[in-house]
Amino acid sequence: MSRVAVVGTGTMGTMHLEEWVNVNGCEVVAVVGRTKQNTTHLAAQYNVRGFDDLQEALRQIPIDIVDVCVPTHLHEEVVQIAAQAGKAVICEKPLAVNSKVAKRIVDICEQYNVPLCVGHVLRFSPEYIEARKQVLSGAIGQPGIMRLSRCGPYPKGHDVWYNDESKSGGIVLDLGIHDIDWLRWTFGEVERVMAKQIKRENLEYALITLRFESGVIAHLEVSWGSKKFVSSFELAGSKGMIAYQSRDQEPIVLELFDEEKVGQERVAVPSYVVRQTPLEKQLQHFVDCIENGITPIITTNDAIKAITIAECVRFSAKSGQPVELKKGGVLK
Amino acid sequence: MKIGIISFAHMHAVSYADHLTEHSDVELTAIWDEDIERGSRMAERFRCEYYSNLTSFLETDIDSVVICSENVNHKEHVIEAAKMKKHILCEKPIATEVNDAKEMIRVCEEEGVILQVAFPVRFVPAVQKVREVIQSGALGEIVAIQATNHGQMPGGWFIEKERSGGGAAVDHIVHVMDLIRWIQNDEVKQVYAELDTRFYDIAVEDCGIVTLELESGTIVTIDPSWSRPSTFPTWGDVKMEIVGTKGTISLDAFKQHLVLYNDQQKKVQHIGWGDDMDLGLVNDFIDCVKSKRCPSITGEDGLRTLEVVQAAYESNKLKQAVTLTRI
Repeated sequence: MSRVAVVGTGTMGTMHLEEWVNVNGCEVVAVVGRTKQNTTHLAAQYNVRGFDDLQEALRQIPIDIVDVCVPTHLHEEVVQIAAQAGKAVICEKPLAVNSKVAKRIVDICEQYNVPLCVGHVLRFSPEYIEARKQVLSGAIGQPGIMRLSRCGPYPKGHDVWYNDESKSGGIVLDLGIHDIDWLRWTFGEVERVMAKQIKRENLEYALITLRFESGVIAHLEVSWGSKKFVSSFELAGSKGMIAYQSRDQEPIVLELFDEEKVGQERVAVPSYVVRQTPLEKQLQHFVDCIENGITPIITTNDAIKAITIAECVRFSAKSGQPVELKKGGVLK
Repeated sequence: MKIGIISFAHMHAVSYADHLTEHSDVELTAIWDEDIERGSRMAERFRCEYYSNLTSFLETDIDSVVICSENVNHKEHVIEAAKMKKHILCEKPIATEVNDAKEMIRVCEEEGVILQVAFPVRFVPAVQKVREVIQSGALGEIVAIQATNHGQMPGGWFIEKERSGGGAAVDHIVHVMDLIRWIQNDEVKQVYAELDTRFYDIAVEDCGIVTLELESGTIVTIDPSWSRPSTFPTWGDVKMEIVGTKGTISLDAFKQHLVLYNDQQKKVQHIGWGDDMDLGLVNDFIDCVKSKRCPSITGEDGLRTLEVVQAAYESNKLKQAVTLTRI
């Protein structure tokens, strides 16, 4: 039975705690956070120990896995403490704000020989898994042009760290990375990217074109500024097309006549009516990999490459010109 | 008022002819077509005279012409018609070369004839409503537009570069480009395009993504791909997602449709029930000729959209974003 410490008590930390309850072969033993109110509340709710410092938690109780759910710019610091203590690490995406830091994080985990699992949850989302399976089995013939979209409300995280690009990497790194990783997972390495980005008060929006080494063209729209969370894709090839629109796939519609308006406090996420949520599957996969010494389906290299592509996208948006990636997906 | 049609090479000609014959103030009297068989058949169908000689056709007492020839022939046909003082409704794209379009506009001006370019999507009521909402300022500053004009691969002369001037980029950038200019009162500053032939074994591009920046700073992408499979329930789409600082608006111009599960054709089909945009276009042109006013869609509108198409090709070749300068 692995013992898990969840670090971070914001949206992601809270979501992970909810899911950990359902994961087999492990138990959460500690929640660690700087926001005392959250930590106390969550520790009581899940009947675990609350700490304001990871090192303190590691000193006081036995822990096997550190689940890193802090804002992106704090990942390195937390992973370092966990790795040095010889603990397995699960880290939310993106692994870091840039590829340089991401490589440092990977290096330190290798140095201390601890597993590092990076959470790219689309790899556990059934519609994206099925679409990839169909594409790879030839259902659309030769893949031609892919359109993907991911739009959600403007995130209102603690300390407004999301809108500080040096902390979150902005919309491309924080939100776009989901589709970037899925595209790379499905269509291989990226050759060139072109992007345009808009940033206004409570609005971030980007239009991204990716050209793959295979010739596939992908268009990705990402938005922080829509009222509801919606994602969609349309995968067109020489023999067919697969289309998905999250808005049209909700099996239940509930309408309460006296529903009061609830403020947008947490970062919005898609809701699935499935037996096992993608996040639960992801955490289960990571625990299984850690216990059995297996490499997870998303490798540390995958995590670094997704960040590298996102970096090129951001660079293109700034320069106004396309950015070529070196063979193997490394920034020139 | 008498009107003639130059060529049925573009299938829109049939729809225009239908609306012309239905119009109470107009008489469709003459058809010219390079293809004798097609021209005669259409003349019979629309009960008018067929001419195999363009000069004889233009010497008749028609006031105006609708030109639906292959893209590369637009230039010759517009100029010939203008010189015979005929008012012109020309199918899009206006031409295949920017300089040709400029010459066409110049000749029409010199001859004092109306040159209107057929961008019928402007006459879809939902499109007009979107323009109204945006121009009212309800969405604040428009910062981004994501547009598609998808289609099925049309085949025929559309995929012969010598007659069409190019593939999906020529065919499907201009409609949404025109809408964006019309809705936004803005011009394109920068163009980047990834174009390719990935769906069919044809000599022109069948897909791509065009990235634009407008003079106002609005960012735009247009997907002009012939990426709709042959089993797709309709010919394609015109869609726009428009993002402003105060809200967003989504347009699906042909959303108004019934769904037909057609066992006879083993296909699911969309049967549109919205207002006929070609009717709106034809009526507007007739009104323009009758009242001798400026056309609602000018030759310059055609030229500006063509410039974007040409810049897209150049950018795709250079793998660099190309800057457009306002002339």
